[in-house]
Amino acid sequence: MQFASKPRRKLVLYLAAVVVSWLAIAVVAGVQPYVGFLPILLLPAVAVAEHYGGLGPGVLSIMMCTVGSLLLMRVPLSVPEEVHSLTNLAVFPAVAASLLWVMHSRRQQQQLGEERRVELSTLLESMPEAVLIFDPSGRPVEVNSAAVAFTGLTREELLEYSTARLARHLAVQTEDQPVDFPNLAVTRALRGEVVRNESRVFSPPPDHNRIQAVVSASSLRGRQGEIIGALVVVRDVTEITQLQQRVADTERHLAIGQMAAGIAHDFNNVLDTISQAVGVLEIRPEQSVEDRKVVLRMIHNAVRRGTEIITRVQEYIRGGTGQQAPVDVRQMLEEALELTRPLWRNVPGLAVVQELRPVSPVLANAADLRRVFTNLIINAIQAMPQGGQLTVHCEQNTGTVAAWVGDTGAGIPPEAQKKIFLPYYTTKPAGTGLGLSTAQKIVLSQRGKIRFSSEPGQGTTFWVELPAMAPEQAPARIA
Amino acid sequence: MARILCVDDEPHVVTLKCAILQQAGHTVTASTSARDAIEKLQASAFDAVVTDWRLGDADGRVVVEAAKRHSAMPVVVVSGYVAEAFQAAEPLADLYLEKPVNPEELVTIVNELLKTSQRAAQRQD
Repeated sequence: MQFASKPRRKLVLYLAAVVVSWLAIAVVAGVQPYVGFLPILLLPAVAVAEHYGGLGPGVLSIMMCTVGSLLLMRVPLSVPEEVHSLTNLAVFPAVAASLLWVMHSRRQQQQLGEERRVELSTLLESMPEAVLIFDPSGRPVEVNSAAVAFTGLTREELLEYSTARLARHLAVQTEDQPVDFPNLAVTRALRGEVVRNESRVFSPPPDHNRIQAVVSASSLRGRQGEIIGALVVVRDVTEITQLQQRVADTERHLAIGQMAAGIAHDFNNVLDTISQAVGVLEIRPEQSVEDRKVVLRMIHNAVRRGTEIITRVQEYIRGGTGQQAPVDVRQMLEEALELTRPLWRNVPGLAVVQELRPVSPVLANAADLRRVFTNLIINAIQAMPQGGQLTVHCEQNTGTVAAWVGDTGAGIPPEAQKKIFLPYYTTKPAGTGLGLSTAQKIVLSQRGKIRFSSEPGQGTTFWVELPAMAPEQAPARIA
Repeated sequence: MARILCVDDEPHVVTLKCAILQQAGHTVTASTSARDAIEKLQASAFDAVVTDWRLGDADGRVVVEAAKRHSAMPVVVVSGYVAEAFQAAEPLADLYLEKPVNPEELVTIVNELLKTSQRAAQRQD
């Protein structure tokens, strides 16, 4: 049954207790002319009032019945004494038995509740996650051992803490900034929000080691749907995160190995050319000056290629370590287009679309950023030897500056998509495999993001997103 | 004096190898792609093949295959990817040389292989 509000529901229960009591009195009054005064028959009324209404209506029922009994006692006894005693005796076991039954089933229910509580707390205790149940004021009321261990407090201390104090104690943060009170998982759950698997970093005393964790929280609701607390689950993912990092490190080492192998190969090719050329010069002393010049030119070219290989590797290694200053992304894109002009000017059927909107400055190294865009534009042009559309775009978003370079070329084959950022990975016969890996290294070093989307036959778009400088940091004009 | 097909996708490398082998007294035909090399092997007779492994349009395996299909002529793979070439297995080339190759060594090796194969051919006759 649903009642509009609590006070009204209580009033109804008290009235019901009065009605039940007077009904019982009416029954006692009704049988009185035949068997005499039997106040024991009033007991079920008290039991019913207590069962449905609780202690208050129960006590009221006792008072009503006592008043009723006082009135009925004044009626003179109209049946023989033996009849009255016998009936009294006959009714007693029935009333006593029903009372016993009520008390017994109550106790059973209580035991069941107790068992369920034990089950629940065993379940909580066995969980590796820290589980905390908060009351509506934000104070923990139930915590498991994992939660106690996680906070580094004793259970008693923990139950004394408020949400705000606990958050301060644990130094709860997102990846890089503290979480303020209204955004804590508990606070949000107590507002009725559901928090699912959000990343947090905790640094609890005494050692203040960073703990990477995933937090979930939901509100606990009472029978009327009102919020009666919040359940918070904290899963420590430090180890998993470290493991993932180790896997990433291994991959990076493999990539470096691949890169070293690639450099060795390219270099051996260069040395091979020089070796053969010197051989030719040695075995053909009678060669004409013109022929010798051709061979010497080959040696020169091989040396130049060797130098280029070294320069590219140095660029990759150095990528993103240059001095940072406020930089205009739009200007960098314009310059990159200008630098690559010889590559796209003479491609038949190649259209260049510039969508360059004014953007706020980013903190970066201008030369590095120009190289990123140049690499992306060169890739785009190379993807469209038969012509197509090269789109260069930049725009201001909240907190970031986004730029993208798109082509309408063949797209990146799915099997290559996973590897394109690996150093020395290339699908081009003359590629070095360092363009995109250098670009990625530079963008990451500037706290930016680089990603791409590619549809076979439709083309490829590379996105670069860089954090915009806050207005107070940014200069009025960029030098 | 033998007829040799020299394959490498880099034109200047082919030019130099040809010059060295010619100087050693051989008739050398240059080729800069796998497809072109296979066509040349079908069109005319050769006594030996010297090829790179990673060619622009395919790997050296197809060249080795085409050469060995014609005769037991010696095939030398000269490459920066010798390990890869060696793992590619059947059919095997007669020799794998890692770049950079010493020109004199290349000539000596080719001459030795040619002598062995000529002796084998004579015995068969």
